[in-house]
Amino acid sequence: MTSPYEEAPLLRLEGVRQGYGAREVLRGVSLELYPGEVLGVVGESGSGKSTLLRVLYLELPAEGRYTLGQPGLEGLNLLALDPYRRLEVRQRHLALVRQHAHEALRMGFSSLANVAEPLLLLGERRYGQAATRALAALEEADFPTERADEPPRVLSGGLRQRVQLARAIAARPAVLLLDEPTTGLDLLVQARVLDTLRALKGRLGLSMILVSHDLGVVRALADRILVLLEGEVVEAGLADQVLEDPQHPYTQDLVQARL
Amino acid sequence: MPRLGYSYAFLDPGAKRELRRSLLKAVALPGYQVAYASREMPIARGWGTGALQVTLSLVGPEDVVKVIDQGADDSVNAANLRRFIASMSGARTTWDTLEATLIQSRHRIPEERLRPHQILILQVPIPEPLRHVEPSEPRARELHALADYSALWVGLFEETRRFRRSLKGAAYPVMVHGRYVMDPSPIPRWDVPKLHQAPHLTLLAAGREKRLYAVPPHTEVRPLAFQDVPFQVERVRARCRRTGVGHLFLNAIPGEGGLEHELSDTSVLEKLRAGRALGETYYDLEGRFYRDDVPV
Repeated sequence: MTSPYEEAPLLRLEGVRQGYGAREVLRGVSLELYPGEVLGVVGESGSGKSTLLRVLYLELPAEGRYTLGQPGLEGLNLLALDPYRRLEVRQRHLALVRQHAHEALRMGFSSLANVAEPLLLLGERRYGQAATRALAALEEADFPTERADEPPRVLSGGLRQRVQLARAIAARPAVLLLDEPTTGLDLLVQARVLDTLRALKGRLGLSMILVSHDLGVVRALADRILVLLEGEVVEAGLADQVLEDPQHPYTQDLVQARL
Repeated sequence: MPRLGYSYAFLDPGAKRELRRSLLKAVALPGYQVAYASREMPIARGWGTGALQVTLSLVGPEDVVKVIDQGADDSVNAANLRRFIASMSGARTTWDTLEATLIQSRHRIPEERLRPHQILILQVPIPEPLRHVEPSEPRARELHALADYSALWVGLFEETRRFRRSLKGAAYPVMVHGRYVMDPSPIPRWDVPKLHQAPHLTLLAAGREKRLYAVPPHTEVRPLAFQDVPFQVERVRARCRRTGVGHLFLNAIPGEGGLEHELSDTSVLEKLRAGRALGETYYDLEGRFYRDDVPV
């Protein structure tokens, strides 16, 4: 992919391969993420989107090269790190918003405690500071803070996603990964979550990788789009360019399917 | 004289060797739970079989053994274990903390300060401090390996948010040597600071769960606590009904006039009643701990 920006990429994947048994799910995927941009990854079910996100979140081992332009990590292939260092990098630099909130949140603990967890993980040992920063993150994610003591299990799907978002941004990660963050929500709630994400992008200058099968969601947020088909990148470019003038037949099908 | 017709100290030499090797590993990795082949013992699992095996693997005829159950030397369980250890090893037994070389205890650390030559062996029902937050044993082991104790911190955060303090009365989790979080067995919070930089060796064993672990002498043992909500021990405004002592750990006992209190440590209780001098205690008459680098 040629660089659309003058800055050096914040995140770079080169020739990443990952498979389940004999079946290869990612077949030499390369991508770059630049500071402050949103990269949308689209493709049909089974194209390898979620696997790609899990590799990016250092949750799955993979072959290839993965670098992050962060102090202390320059030139380091994150895929070659031992599990302990991988976890450290994940906790310090990455955050993931999952499609299903129950996979990411402790449903029995309060929303505030859920948001405070990444801060505690990174060594915050002052209760007051952790509580204040967690409340601020909930506010940034447009969560009604008067409900901060309620556990996610009693919250609606939309509010749960906001708790996830707050948790993801609380420790100010370098890269925010979003796995179908609005799937399963009704249209109005979807629009509100997207508004919040847009606001966060503007306010905090977050760099995000958004995975979705919904081109509408990707169109609303992404600066650039990457199209995945059977574990391979078949098209990549600026969002408008890919959506208005798709080059690859598969991308053309995707765009037409939406219309 | 040890009882004839059995291996010395009941356990066969192979079992003792395995236990001692596991203990050495536990001492080398403070706070790390070492798996061992917990043997069948002539008492039911859950009644101190883990600590009993450790005691039997260490005891020699020159040792002086003390067994306490929740601070008491005279409980049925303590008396049974004591007699069994003595009959199998020929070791002398005592109630006096200062005289003992091996102290097997259920849920208490004595009030008199232990010395470098003494070994404290604590009975443990649940060795895994993550059990309540991570029910999967393999996952819990993984979290220990990764030193990922966020779930415990989240639990502490939640309790602090709701009650302004931790509600954990016993088995308060501690960080050992800055690496492993350990369940110190269900000792009261009052006893937790006694483990920090202690001059004696502490061994902890769970027979039912087949795990043992250790705190070597002079090891850092810190209770998990926020800097701005420090760890605190239990403070009761009461005095022992038999000795009048108010600065040591007291048991609450239902009495005729309501709740009454009595010293939990029977060794101290008996010494005070007999007018004998106490050794140095961890807490002084004003309730101050003997080390000032431990918040109590």
